[in-house]
Amino acid sequence: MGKILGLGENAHWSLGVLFILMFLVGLGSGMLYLSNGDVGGAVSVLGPCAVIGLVPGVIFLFFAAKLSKERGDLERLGLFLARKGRATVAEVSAEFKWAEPDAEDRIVLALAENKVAGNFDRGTRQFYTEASVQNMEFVAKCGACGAGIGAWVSKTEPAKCSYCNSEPRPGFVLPPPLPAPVPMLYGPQPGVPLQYAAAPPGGAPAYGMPAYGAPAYGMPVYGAPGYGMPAYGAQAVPPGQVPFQPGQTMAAPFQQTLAPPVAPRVLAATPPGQMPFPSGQSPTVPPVGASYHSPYPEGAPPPPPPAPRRKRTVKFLFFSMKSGALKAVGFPLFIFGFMVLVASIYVSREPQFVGLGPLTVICSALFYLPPLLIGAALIIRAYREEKYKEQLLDIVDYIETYRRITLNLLAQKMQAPEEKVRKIISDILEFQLVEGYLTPDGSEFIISLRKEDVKSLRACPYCRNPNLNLQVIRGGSEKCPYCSGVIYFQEGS
Amino acid sequence: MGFLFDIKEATYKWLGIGSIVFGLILVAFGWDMMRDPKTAYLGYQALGGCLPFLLVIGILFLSVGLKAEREVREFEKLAAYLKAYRRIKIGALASKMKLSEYETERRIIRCVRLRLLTGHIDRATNEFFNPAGTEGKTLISCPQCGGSVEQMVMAGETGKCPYCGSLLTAGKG
Repeated sequence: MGKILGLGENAHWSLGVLFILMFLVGLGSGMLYLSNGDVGGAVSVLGPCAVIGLVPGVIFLFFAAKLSKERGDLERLGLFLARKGRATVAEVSAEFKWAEPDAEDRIVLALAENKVAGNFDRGTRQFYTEASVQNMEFVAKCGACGAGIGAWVSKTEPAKCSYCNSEPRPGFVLPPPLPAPVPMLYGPQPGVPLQYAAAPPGGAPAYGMPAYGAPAYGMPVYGAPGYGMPAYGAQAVPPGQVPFQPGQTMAAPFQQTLAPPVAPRVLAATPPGQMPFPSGQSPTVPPVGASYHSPYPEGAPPPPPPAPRRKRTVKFLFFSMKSGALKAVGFPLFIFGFMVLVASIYVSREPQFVGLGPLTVICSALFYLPPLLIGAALIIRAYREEKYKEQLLDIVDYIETYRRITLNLLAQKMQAPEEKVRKIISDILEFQLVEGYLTPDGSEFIISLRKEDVKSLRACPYCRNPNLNLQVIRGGSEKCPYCSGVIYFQEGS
Repeated sequence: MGFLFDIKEATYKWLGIGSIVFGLILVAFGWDMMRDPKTAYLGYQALGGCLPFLLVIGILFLSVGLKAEREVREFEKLAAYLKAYRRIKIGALASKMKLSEYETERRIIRCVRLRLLTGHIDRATNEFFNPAGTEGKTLISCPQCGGSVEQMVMAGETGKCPYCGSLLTAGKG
C-alpha cells in the first residue's frame, strides 16, 4: 500500500519535511559559497545535499501524499457505504470511477480498517452495512403483478415495482419468524397496506390459488360479482356497483384503488423438528408453501466460541529446536573445516613447502575434511528437519481448518504420499498438537469436538432416506450419500 | 504471529534502504575527496570498492523486503475478503485473488496459522467460513421453481436459485 519501512502516513510527512529541510540548509550553504565565488565549494555542498536531502525527501513526501489519498478514499468510501446501506460493487465502481475488482478490494479494505461495518452479499454481490439489515426488507416478487423483483428495499422509503408501478412491498416477503399458516383472506387485513383492493367475499379474483378448502377456493358462480380474473391494471370499480358487503361502507382508499385484488401470500415455516415436506408429497419438487425451511427459532443461542488452539508441548518444543541445534553445530563445523582448507592451501604455497604443496593439502585433510563433511551433513539434516516440521505444521493447520479430513485428501493437499502423511499424523498425535483420532479403517482423521458442535443425522431432509448416519459439524455441511443434497448444521435441528 | 511478518518485511527494507543511503553518502564524500589530489585515491577507493558492494547489498535487501511486503499485503487482503464474505467458496475467492484454488487454500491455511483469521473449510461445499458464517439459515428449495437450492444464507444476505436465478432470502434480519 505504498508504505516505506512500515511507517505510517504521519511518519512519512515528518521524514519528508525533515529531509527537505536538510536540503534547504545545504542549499543555503551552497549559496553562501557561490556568493563568495567558490563554485567548487558550492558544488561540493549542493551535490551531497541533493543526494541525501532532496531525493529521500521527495520520495517520503510522494508516499505520504499517496497514503493520504488512500486514506481519504477509504473514508469517503466508508461514508458512501454507510449512507447507501446497500450498494453493489458496480455502484461503488461508478461512483468512485474505479475498476470493479479495485472497488471490491477497497470495500474489503475499508471493512478491514473499520471504516464501515458490514458484509458482502454473495447472491447480489452487494455490500451491506449492519444497520441496513434492520432497515431494509427483501421483496422477492411484486405482490400486485407477480413480477420477480428480488431486491432489498428500505422500510421507510417508497419503492415502486418497475413493471406495474405499484408498491411491491407486500408481496412475497419472507420474514424469518413465520407465523402459523394463515388461509388466504380477502379484504383489508391488519398489517396489509390499504392501497390494495379488497376482494368480494365468495368470489375472490385473487392472483394465485387459495388454499384448498379455503372459503374462496374454486371459481365463483357464473355471473356473480367478481367472476373471472380481473384484467391487469383493471379500472377501479365504480362505487356502489360491486357490493363488497351488504351494508358495509368502503374505506376511502379502496375506492381509488386500481390494482387487482391480491391477497398476501404467507408462506408457512416448517415447524421445528419436522420434515420440510409433508408426507405424500414429492421431495424433489416441494410445494411453494413449504419452500423456506427454517426450523430454527429466532433468537437461537449464539454458537459457543471456537475451541482454543492447543499449546505446543515440551516434546514439540524440543523437536522444533532440533533443526536450530543442528544448524548451530553444523555451520561452525563447516566454517571451521573450510577455513582449515583455505589455510592449508595458503600454507602449501609458502616457500618452505614448495614441492610438498599438494601433499600438505592432502595431509591436512585429516583436519578439515571431517568437520567439513560432518558440518555439511548436519546442515542438510537441519534443513530436512525444518521441511518436515513445516509439513507437520501444515497438516496440523489442514486438520484444524477442515476438522475432519480423509488422509487421501490430505495427501493430495500436501502433494505427498499417503504413507508419509500417515507417519506425520502419528507424530502429530505423539506431540499432542491436535486432539483427535483416526477412524478405525484409518482413512479419516477427525478432530475432537465438543458435543454441542456435532449433530447426528438419521434421515435426510431432502430424500428422507432413514438409513442416513451422518455427523455434521457446526458451521459445516455434509452431502447425503443417496441424493447428494447438502445438509447444513443448524442449531436445534 | 502476523507481526513477525511485518518485522521481517520492515527489517529487510530498513537494511536495504540503509545500505543504499550509506552508499549515497559514500558517493557524496568520495566525490568531495576526489576533488583534492591528496585524497583522490581514497575517493576512488570509496566509489570503486565500497559503492558497488553497498548498492548490490542494498538492492538485494530492498527487493526481499518489498517481496515480503507484497506477501503481507496479499495475506491481509485474503483475510479481509474472508472476513467480508463470512462464507465463500474457495473457487470464487481464487478468482478474486487471481490465484489457483490450490494456492488460495494454501494461503488460507497459512493465514489461519498466522492468526490473521479464524475459521474452517467445509469440505462438502468447499467453502471457507468464519465464526460469523455459521449463523446463517438454510434455504432448501426455491419458492419460484421448486428447485433444490441448498444454500446457507446469513442475515441480510441473498441466495440465488441455481435453476431459475431467483433471488431468495432467509429473512429480513
